[in-house]
Amino acid sequence: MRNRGLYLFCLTLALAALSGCATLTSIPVGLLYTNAKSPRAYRSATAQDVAAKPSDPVVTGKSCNRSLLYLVSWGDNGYARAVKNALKDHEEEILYDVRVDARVRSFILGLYTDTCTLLTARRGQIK
Amino acid sequence: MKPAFSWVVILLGITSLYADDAPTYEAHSQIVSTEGGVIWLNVVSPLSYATELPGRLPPNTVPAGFVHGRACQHGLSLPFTIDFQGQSGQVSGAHGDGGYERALRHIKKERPEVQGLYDVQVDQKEVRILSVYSKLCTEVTARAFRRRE
Repeated sequence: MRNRGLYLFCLTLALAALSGCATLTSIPVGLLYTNAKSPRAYRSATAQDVAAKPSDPVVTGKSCNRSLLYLVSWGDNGYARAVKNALKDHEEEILYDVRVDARVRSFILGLYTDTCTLLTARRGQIK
Repeated sequence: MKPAFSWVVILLGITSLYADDAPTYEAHSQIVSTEGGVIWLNVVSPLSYATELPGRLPPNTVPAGFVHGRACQHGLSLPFTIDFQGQSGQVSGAHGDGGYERALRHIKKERPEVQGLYDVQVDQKEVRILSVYSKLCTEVTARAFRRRE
């Protein structure tokens, strides 16, 4: 039983070594299966491009992907999902003054990681 | 002690002359993963796309709703039985057009009335199974505009 625990520990360490720094890239590593989306480019609107008003609300949207035990990774931390989450039920409106951050969390030698796109913007009307 | 200190100052001065320049922006396309010896590679990957802004749409055009386009590259890596001096022996190949042009052609095919896109969000989707099969897709989500009738 003790040998089995040691074996599992060594296997985990080996997987961690194999994965290298890849855990901190936008698409997390999954040695067995990966199905993840990551952000690439977003040319967002500025206040001049929309019918901006001072009363336009500030909205936030988040999208994440995750990996577990270096074996599987899944999720969608793309721009499209974050924008959709920020717009919610106001799809006819548009986001402007957009700020996007990336949050990466990794726990216990990267056995669990999540990478999120955090979007903050103002929601306004199209001209 | 003093001469040694002088040498350290001189060496630091010389090394600063050879220090690396500050990192600059480099265009970086994303090619689907291939392992070991590549026997076939014929892929197109996205590099840059200067998209339209909502305030600068051409005259006589109106919004035409949301559109979505996708273009993918596919890769296959297989283990090779002969061990090359301890290195893992693999052969691989990749094929496919995952570029912007293909994704936009896909949109144009589905919505022929579309003249152009704005508020464009580009994401990348990766599917990988056991490092044997991999697929890398460029996904374009945007608002479209069309000619006013």
